[in-house]
Amino acid sequence: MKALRRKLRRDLWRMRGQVITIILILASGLASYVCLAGAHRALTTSRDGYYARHGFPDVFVHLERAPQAVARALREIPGVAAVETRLVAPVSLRLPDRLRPPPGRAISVEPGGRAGGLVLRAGRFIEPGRDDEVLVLETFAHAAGLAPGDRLELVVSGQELRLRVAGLVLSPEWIFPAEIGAGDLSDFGVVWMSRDALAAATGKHGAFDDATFRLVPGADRRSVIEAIDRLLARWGGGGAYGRERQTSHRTVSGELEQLSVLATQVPAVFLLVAMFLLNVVLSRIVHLQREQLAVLRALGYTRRALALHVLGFASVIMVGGVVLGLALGRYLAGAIVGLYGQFFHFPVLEVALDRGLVGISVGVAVVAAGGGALTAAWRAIRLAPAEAMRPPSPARYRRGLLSRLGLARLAGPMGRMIVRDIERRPILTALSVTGVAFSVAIVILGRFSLDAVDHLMDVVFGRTMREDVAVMLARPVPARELGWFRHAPGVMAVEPMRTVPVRLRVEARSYDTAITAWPRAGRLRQVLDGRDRPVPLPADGVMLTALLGQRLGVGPGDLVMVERLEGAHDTFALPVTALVDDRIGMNAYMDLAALGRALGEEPQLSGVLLGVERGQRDRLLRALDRVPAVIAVIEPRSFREAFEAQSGQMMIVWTLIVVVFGSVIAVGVVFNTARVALSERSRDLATLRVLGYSRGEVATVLLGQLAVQVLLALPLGMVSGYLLASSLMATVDPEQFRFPILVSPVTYAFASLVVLGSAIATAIVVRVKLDRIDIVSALKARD
Amino acid sequence: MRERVLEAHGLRKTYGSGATAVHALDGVDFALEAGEILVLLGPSGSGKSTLLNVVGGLDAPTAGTVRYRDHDLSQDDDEALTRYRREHVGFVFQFYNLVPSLTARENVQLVVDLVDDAMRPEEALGMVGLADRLDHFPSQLSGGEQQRVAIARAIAKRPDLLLCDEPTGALDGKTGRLVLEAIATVNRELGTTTALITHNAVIAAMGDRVVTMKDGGIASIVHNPTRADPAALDW
Repeated sequence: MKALRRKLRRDLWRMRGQVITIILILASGLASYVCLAGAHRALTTSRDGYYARHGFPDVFVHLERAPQAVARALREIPGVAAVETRLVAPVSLRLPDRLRPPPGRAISVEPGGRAGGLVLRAGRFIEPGRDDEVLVLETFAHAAGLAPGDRLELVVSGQELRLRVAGLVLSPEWIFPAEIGAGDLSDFGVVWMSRDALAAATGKHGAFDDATFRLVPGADRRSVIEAIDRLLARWGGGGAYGRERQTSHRTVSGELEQLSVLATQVPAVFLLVAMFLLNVVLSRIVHLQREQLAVLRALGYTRRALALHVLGFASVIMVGGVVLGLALGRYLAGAIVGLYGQFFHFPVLEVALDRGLVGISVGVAVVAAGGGALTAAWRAIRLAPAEAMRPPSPARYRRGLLSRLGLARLAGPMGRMIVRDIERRPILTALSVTGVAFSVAIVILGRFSLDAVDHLMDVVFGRTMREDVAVMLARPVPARELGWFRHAPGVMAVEPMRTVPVRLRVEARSYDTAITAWPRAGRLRQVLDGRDRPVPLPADGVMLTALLGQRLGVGPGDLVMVERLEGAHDTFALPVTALVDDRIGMNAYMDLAALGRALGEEPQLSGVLLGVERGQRDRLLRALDRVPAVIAVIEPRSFREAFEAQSGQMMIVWTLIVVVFGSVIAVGVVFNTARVALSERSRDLATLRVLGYSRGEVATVLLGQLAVQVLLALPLGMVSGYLLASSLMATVDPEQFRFPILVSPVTYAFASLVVLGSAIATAIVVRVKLDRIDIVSALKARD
Repeated sequence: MRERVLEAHGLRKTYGSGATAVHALDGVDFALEAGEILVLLGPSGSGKSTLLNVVGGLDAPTAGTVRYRDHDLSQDDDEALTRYRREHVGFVFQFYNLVPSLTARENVQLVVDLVDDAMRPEEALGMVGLADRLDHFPSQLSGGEQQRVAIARAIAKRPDLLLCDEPTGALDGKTGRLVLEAIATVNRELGTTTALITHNAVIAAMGDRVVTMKDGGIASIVHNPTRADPAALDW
């Protein structure tokens, strides 16, 4: 057996190029699995543990105000295990070095502060009676440079409060801290303060305006939500909702869903390719070594020994792939979780290679390597010694379809050799083409979402929000207040805006959203349709996001019932005058005057859109800072810049990963196909050299065949990349985002270039090997 | 005396170096005369194939000179050797070396495409008695037929030299005779200077001259007063 093992070792060394490329593909597959599934597990485990330990609520509701006594009635709703009532108010945080005060939320907390599932990260909780202390969300504090003991000024309901930071906290409700989708962590702040202090600022003593619920296991959530809504209707209840509509939870879950899809698709592609290559290469080895294997049989080696010999080849590749794959996967999982850690904030977030993950990886590797090796091993043991030692007969060729079509005649003898070889091995050719196509698809899959997001950003922040600055007010004010903004420094254009939280109802169907209104003639906001063309606001009635119309079962001409979720909670009917395929959210748009008529009030505004003179921004922001009614100042452009800076980093990491993975597959497939072709045809090629063909001419036969395969693979890869991308996109919640284009031409081109580049690099290596063929010895080889 | 088409002087070919060096050719002087059939005899390892490969431009000598007419082959690079093979030399090997994905006609066409004044493939195949097997693939032909296609391929460009390395080595006597007849026909009709390696002494009777090699050198050169007809040879 020792000699046989030595033979295995030398065979492996002789074929090291092929062995290494297959190990790399297998390792990439396992690494992609370990890193994606590992990141998924790390995030899921962290989230679920976090939720469980710190009591993440099942149901949420916001209302106008209700006396504290109502809490008891809420607690008695069947299915409710615990209720926490609190005050939540929009705040504006004044930071010394920030011209534009970041918006945020102030949330009331009981002294000693376990409530709200807060996790103390630094400092201490608020002590009883300390109304001047505040807890700050750790991530915001870090971004804004706040530490325990620092002073913090904030504006709540038009009142300026001077507070001192007691501690930094994390909360399961704010894993992803954003309301409007902050581009930068320091753009949205969350603070917790004593109930008395917040009640004093908002004038809500002895009352609450927000509640969270935990349900008993097995409770019927729907009926609990209905009961809450019935009970809170007279207190201005804004509609209770479950976790799926809680911003942070929704964002985290959406991301996890995508990770889990990726964790299945990407590794599957790699492992299929690895299996295929192993099969091709091992079959070739068995074929080349027919004689040797036959001699071994003649010498008395058992079939079992020979099968193990062939499988030994596969097991070296398997072990190499597993070790490298696990190590690389573990490293990449850490990198990906690190990237997520910038957006999602958990008290503990670490990657562990658990036994399940390792077990699955090893199992998959065994299946991939074994699946690839089995037929080859089978062929090895079926060899009859005498038959294998007979001289070979020429490979069988016949005239295939392409030749009969006259294609071969056009192509000359070289072209004929290429065409006939493709025809003789259609399955092998198809598999090689598929393998290369997969590498195109992988690169597309890794990159397309960046294009889609980029396009979305452009549509939303470049073309929908065309103002330089949007100012949000703490509460609606009469339209005449607009005058102040008109005269504010640097302002060139002013347009009013109004948002009203509403519940839209059509028969039994309802949806909670907000009506956004501005003047029809306004130029600072525009709604874009599915082809990014502006759609004018209707003079009367409401224009709905098409998907919202679908959910409600209404179209143009139908009536929708509108219940205001603020103030008087009055209900009125509105005609739907248009549906529009906009990109983000489930929206209702109206002309500002039409909204005033529908509400039966003088036009009011809750926000102001401003066009600002170049160079006057800072002056304007300083002036706005002195207006207590201003709750938030948003700059679409800087939002986009912040987003791009952050996604840019993510983009570089992702692009690098997919380029490496895609190239590994492309190089692996092309190199192995070429090596096999080279070993099969070295005699043909040497013959051509003897007949007087030059090296370059001979190379066209082999490389031409590879080129045909790669060129066939490109369109196929684009199609499969598109399909993989669609299945990943299907996991995006369409109520949040509707991506217009799936894959941009740039991504198609990029993927093609990566694969072409890999193929050309490989072709150069093959060409060098081809040039080194020893004509004389190749001619004497019998097959 | 006939014109010397090719002359080699002091040819050495050494594989490896130092103590393990093998001298495949050890100072050989050799010539091919226009229109002759030269038979190279000798045991395996005596240097026949190495000599033929050097003469045919497949291999470069370690030392010595090879001149084809006025041209010094020993100074040629790969490109020049390729041109030499393309323009002047036809090869036939023991294992035929047909391209399996091309038919008989197309295998010959391979060579026809390379030169200006070539025969039509049908004509070349007719000369070796395969006019009725034009569109067969190698896998559909017997060993002898495959070898005759190889000869047709070698002579279709009307080469100056036809070099055959054990052309009958893998064939039985009857089939081998057909192949040798084809070679003799080509030599007679086209006047192609032919060198033929064999270790079968019977075949030596069909040559004008018989060169016997031993240990990398030439042991003897015999002139046959008359050439035997291959059909009459028996082994």
